[in-house]
Amino acid sequence: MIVRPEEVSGDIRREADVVVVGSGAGGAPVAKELAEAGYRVVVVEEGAWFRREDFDFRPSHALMRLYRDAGQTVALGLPMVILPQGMTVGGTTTVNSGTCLRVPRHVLKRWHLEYGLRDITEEELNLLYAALEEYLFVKRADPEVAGRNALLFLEGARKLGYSGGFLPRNAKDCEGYGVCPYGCPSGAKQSANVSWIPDAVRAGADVYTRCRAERVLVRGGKAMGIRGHFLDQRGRRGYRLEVSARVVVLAAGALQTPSLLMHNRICLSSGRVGENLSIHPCGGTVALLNEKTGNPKGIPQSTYVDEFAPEGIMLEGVTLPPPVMSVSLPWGGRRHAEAMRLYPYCGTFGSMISEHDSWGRVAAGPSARQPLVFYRFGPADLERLKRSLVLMAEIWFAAGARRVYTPIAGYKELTSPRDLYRLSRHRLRRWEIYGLSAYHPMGTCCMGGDPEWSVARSTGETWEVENLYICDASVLPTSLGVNPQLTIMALALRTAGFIDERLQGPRVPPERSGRLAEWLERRRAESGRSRAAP
Amino acid sequence: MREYFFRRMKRLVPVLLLTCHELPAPDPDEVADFCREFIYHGTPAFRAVYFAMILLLQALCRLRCRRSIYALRPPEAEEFLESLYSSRVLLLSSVPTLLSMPLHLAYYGRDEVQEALGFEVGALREEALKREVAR
Repeated sequence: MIVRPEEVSGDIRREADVVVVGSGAGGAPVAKELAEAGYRVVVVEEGAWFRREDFDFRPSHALMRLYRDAGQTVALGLPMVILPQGMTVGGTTTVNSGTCLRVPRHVLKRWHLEYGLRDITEEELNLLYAALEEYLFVKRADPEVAGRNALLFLEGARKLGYSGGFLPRNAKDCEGYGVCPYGCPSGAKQSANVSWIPDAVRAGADVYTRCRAERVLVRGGKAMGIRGHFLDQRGRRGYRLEVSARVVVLAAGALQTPSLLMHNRICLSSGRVGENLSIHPCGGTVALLNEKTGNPKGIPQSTYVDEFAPEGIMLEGVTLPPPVMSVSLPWGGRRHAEAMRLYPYCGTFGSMISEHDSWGRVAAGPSARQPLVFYRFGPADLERLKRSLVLMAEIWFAAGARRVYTPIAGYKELTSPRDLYRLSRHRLRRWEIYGLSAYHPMGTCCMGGDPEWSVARSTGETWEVENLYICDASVLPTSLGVNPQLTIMALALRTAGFIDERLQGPRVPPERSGRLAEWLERRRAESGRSRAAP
Repeated sequence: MREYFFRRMKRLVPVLLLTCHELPAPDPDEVADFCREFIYHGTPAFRAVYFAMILLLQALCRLRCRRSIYALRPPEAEEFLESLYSSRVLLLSSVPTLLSMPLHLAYYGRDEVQEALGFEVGALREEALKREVAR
C-alpha cells in the first residue's frame, strides 16, 4: 500500500520486520526482495508519489516536485557545484537518464586492495548485474530514437577516430520523449517508481510518502526502528510515524544518510561519517549547428565517447528542454534571447569527470534535512574538466558546428579551432568556471574491512550498531567513473541477502539464504550469458 | 520582509527577461508567481543569496549609473546588465545570472514558448498519455 499524508488522520505506530528509509536505487530493491521473501516491510520516503500521468513535460515544475530543494542543493566551494538530488518515490532513479553501467574492473580491484572488500567479487557482481539487467530491461539505446543531437556528436567523434557508442539503459519500448530527468511520461524508463516499488507493494510492503525519518531508535547497541513525521506541501511537520523493526535500512542517499547518522550521533567513532565525498563533476557544451537537431526529442543520454576514459573523462549525451537550456547558456540579456531563438539548431553534450585530487565532505547542517556539503576542486581535476570541454568542442566542430558555447569566462563562445587551441593552452582558475553541476554523490559512509576507517561492513551493516544497514551510494568507497545506479542496486540485492540471513537466524547456511540464493544459483547455471564488467 | 523582495523581483522581470520578437511576450505576474514558488521550495541559503543579489544589483546600479535600476531607460538597463554579464569577476557576472535563472525557467517553461521553439509539448503529452508501457 502506498500511503500519502492526506490519507493519514493521526499518529501511526506500527511494527515491521524491516524499515527502509528511502525508496531510490538502494532502498527499493531491498524492500522488494525482502517483501517477496515474506517479511513485513515498511518504506519511509520523504518525497511524494507520482504516477506517470503526473509527469507533464514541464521541467520547471518537475524541479519543484521531484527534486530536493527544487534542485538547488549546492556543494560549497569555489566554484560552487550544483548537486541535484531526486526526492520522490523512486528517488534519483525517477529523475535520472536511465544509464546502466557496470562497475569498471579497475575500480573493483581498488576496492579489494585498498578497502578490504575482497568478498565483493567480480563473479558475484556479474551475476547480480545480469539479473538486474533482465529485471530492468536493460539494453543499448536504439539509434532510431536516440535523437539527431546524439547521432551528430557521435558522427563528429568517429570522424576524429574517437571510440564511442550507444549507452545501455533501463528502458522498455522507449519513444524518446526527451524528458527522462523530469519523470518518464510513458513509464518506459524502469525507474524504481515503476519497477521495484510497485513490485514491493504487490508483495505486501507499505510505503509512507512525504514522511521524513528523523530518529533511528537504538537500544543496547541494536537498531530498533525509526521515528519521523509526515510533511505537508510546505514541508511542515504533521502526524508522527513510529516503526519498531528488527532491521533498519538507511538508503536516503550519500548526502542525507550521513546527515541522519550525525544528527542521531550514531556510528561516529570511525570519524568517517560524512567524509570521503566523491561526485562526478560535469561540464556541458552547447553547439550551434547548421541543421535542426530536433532537441530535446530523443533519448537524453543515449550515446557516449569513452576514448578518454583512462584519463578519467567520460563524455555522455544530454539534451535540454527549453527552460533548462535557458539556464545553461553562458549569456544573459539580449544575447541570451538571441541564443534561445536558435534553440532548434542547438546541440548539447556533457562530460563526467572521475576525481583524482578533489575532496568533499558532508557536515551536519542546521537541521538533519539540510546538511552542509563542501567540495574543493583539485588543480588536476579542474584541468581535466577543461580538457573535457575542449574535447567536446573539438568533436562538435568536426560534426559541423558553427559555434560552441562553454561555461568558462573569457571562452564562452568558441568559433574556430584557433579558439580551441587558446582554450587548451589556458590555465583554468577556479573562479573562471560557473554553472557547474555534479551528479552521483558517493562514499560518505564508506564500507570497508576495518572499523577504524570505515562505517559499514561489506555486508552493508554498520560496524557500531547491530541490525542497522546502509544501502545507498554512500557505502561506495570510491568514485566509480560511470553512472552508479546499477552498482547501487547490485549491492542492495546483496545486502538484502544478508538481511534475510540475519532475520532467519542460525537455521540458514551462513553464506547465502532465501530467494536471493536461489536466484544466484539460477544465474550461475546461466553464467554463460553473463558479461564481463566493461 | 519577503513580500518586499518579491515586489522588487516582479519589477525586475522586464529588465532581466529579454526575449526575441518571434516568441510570446512574457507575463510578469506569471513569471513572478513561479519565482516565488521556486524560491520558496528551495534552500534557505539560496533564498538569502537571491534576496542579497537583488540588493546588490540595486547598489551596483546606483554606483555605476547614479540611478535606481527601475529608473533606467530600457537601453541603459540593457547596457548596464550586459556590463555585468560580461564581467570576468565572478561575483559581478553572478548577480544578473542568478537573478534571471528562475525568470528564465518560468518563461521558457511555458507551453506556448516551448512549442514556438519546436518542442511540441502538448502533442507529446497527449501521445504519452495514450501510450502506457507495461512491464
